Amino acid sequence: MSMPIIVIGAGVGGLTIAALLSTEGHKVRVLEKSSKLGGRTASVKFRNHILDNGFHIMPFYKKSAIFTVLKKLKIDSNLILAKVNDIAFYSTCGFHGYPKGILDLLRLSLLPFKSRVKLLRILFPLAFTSLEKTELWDDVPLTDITKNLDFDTNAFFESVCMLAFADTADHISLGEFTRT
Amino acid sequence: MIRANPFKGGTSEFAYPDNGGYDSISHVLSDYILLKNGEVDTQQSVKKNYC
Ligand SMILES: Cc1cc2nc3c(=O)[nH]c(=O)nc-3n(C[C@H](O)[C@H](O)[C@H](O)COP(=O)(O)OP(=O)(O)OC[C@H]3O[C@@H](n4cnc5c(N)ncnc54)[C@H](O)[C@@H]3O)c2cc1C
Repeated sequence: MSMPIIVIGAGVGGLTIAALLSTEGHKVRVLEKSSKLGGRTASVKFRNHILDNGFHIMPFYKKSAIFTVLKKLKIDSNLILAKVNDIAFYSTCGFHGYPKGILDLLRLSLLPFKSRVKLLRILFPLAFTSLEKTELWDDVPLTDITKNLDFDTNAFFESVCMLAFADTADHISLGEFTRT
Repeated sequence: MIRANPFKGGTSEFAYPDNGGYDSISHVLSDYILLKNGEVDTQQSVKKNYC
């Protein structure tokens, strides 16, 4: 057996390389200075909740580098993901389920009724736009259609953009948004 | 992956670890390393040795 390979740091980077070396038959030893794994992704437990170190997201997970690695190691099924049904927005008056259709949107207690109607007016035509047409909107910023919205409706758009793209609406094109 | 537009329906999965915390990814990787007889040691700070 060859000498063990020492990997310094048990962040996603160090653990990924260590796992890949392990699969090739190398003996690895990961040395981590803190008491936890994960580095910048380390979470903490607080009053029965798990708090992430800031806002993290894996958009387009099945195309991501980490998915490719987990799949290569045949451990992708060990990372169980939350189902869309379990996602909720939280405001001071409680949890509000993520809307998955027209009726859900109309029922979205998070927003004033007026905002829900405004959202319907925007999202309904987008949902039926052809792929070719969306490509013409790749240089149009999403904010072109959201800039005149009231605070609540705009905040909803921003949180959806964060969830789906891990970015703010001003960095997303209308074309990209419509296709997603 | 989540669908942004509610009219297209929430599709299959939102890529957030079900048991909470993005460090779940690191735990999955670490379990694999241990399974392959590797070691993952915490509270081990590596210092540079300046001679
Ligand atoms: C708030 C926030 C949000 C983010 N959001 C996203 C996101 O949405 N999507 C995304 O893809 N990325 C995101 N990132 C970036 C992503 O988290 C990092 O790029 C990634 O975690 C870095 O991994 P790493 O292993 O390279 O480094 P780190 O996570 O920094 O790990 C390095 C490890 O090495 C250890 N170490 C350092 N020095 C020593 C030493 N001398 N001896 C022993 N151990 C040592 C550290 O303790 C640490 O555990 C975000 C980062 C932050 C902070």
